[in-house]
Amino acid sequence: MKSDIWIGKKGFRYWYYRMRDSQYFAIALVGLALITCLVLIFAVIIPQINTWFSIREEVLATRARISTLQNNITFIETLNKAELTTQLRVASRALPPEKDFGAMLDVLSNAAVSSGVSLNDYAFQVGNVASLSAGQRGELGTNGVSSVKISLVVSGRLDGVRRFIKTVKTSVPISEVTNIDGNGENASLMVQFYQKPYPNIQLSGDTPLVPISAEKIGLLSTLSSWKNASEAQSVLTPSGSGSAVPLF
Amino acid sequence: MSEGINLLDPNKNRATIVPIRRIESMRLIVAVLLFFVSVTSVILFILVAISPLSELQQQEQSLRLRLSQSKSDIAKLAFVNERTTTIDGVIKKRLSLDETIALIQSKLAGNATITAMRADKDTVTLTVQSQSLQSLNDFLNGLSTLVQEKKGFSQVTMSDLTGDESNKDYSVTISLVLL
Repeated sequence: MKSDIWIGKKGFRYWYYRMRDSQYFAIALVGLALITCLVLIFAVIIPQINTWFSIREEVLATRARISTLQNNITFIETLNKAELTTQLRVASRALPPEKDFGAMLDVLSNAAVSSGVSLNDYAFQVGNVASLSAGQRGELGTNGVSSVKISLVVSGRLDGVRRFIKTVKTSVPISEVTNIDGNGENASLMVQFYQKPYPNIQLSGDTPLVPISAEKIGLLSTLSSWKNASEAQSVLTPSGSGSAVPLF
Repeated sequence: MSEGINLLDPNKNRATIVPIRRIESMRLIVAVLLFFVSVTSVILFILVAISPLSELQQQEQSLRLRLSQSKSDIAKLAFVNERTTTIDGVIKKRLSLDETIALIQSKLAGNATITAMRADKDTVTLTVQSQSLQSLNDFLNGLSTLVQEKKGFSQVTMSDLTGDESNKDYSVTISLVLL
């Protein structure tokens, strides 16, 4: 007889013992263990490794943010608040966030008095009519800087005109004489006053706070001295409409 | 009936499809692999569980809260930096026509005077009057020197020269290209 003989019903036990005694059993067991290992590797270990790496990266990033925050807190706590307020005031006077026509006229008036020329006529050029009705928005230049142009006629010698330009240049709000057209004792000038609205600053805290550089502190000091010069000149002409400048 | 009964396994000596030694080594490999997988899983689980991330996040939140109390100072600092950067840019780029005039005046010789002047960001056109041609010549030479020394101007062009011999009155119109 070539095959096994099983007496009785061929049930579960029959097939179990048949499988266990079979030569494939050992291979099947190894295969099953191998498949289990592979499943564990792909379903558990690799995701866990990914999770661990992402957590590690997040930990490093969080540590870096904490370090930045701590540095920022230390920096802001040691900052001279009163000096910062003064610096902001100086910077905002030099480059106002909005058009300050009074300050512009003061600059021109004081410059005329100190340089010995008289102002005959002036005209503001703030933009077109539509812009005027929409809040007097001037021409927007680079970096969001807008300007108001004032054309004016000054009477005086060339030396006086030169001093006038120099005084305007070293006054705040900052301005620029862009054109001169002079003949005889009269010169027509185009003065451009700059302003820039405050930008929307996103305060995240993650970015390191940048201290005001020495160069900028020097600039603020210069601007402050310009401001003082203007104020000193204002003291000389308290009404702002001295006899030498009848228009103001 | 008894012919078919054989208590000895007829396949006993038959060769298996995989050698027993190879099966043993495969078992060993699988056991090692299973051990490795288990240990790695446990280690990774512990590493993930003991991560300090939550503590760090709490610390970060408290620091943010502390820093937010100085929000106005941070804004001021940012505004000062932004303003000064812009002001510096404007000041560096703006024209200095007073210096240009001073430079031209420094070259005026004798009784030469500037009677007319027109200037913009690129050019300066001026008329100089004198009772002496020598003064005008000296003035032009002075301007030429400035161009050669690359001070203020890159080009000097004489566009007109008029003279009134009876009144000894000469005038020259010059165009200067700013550097």
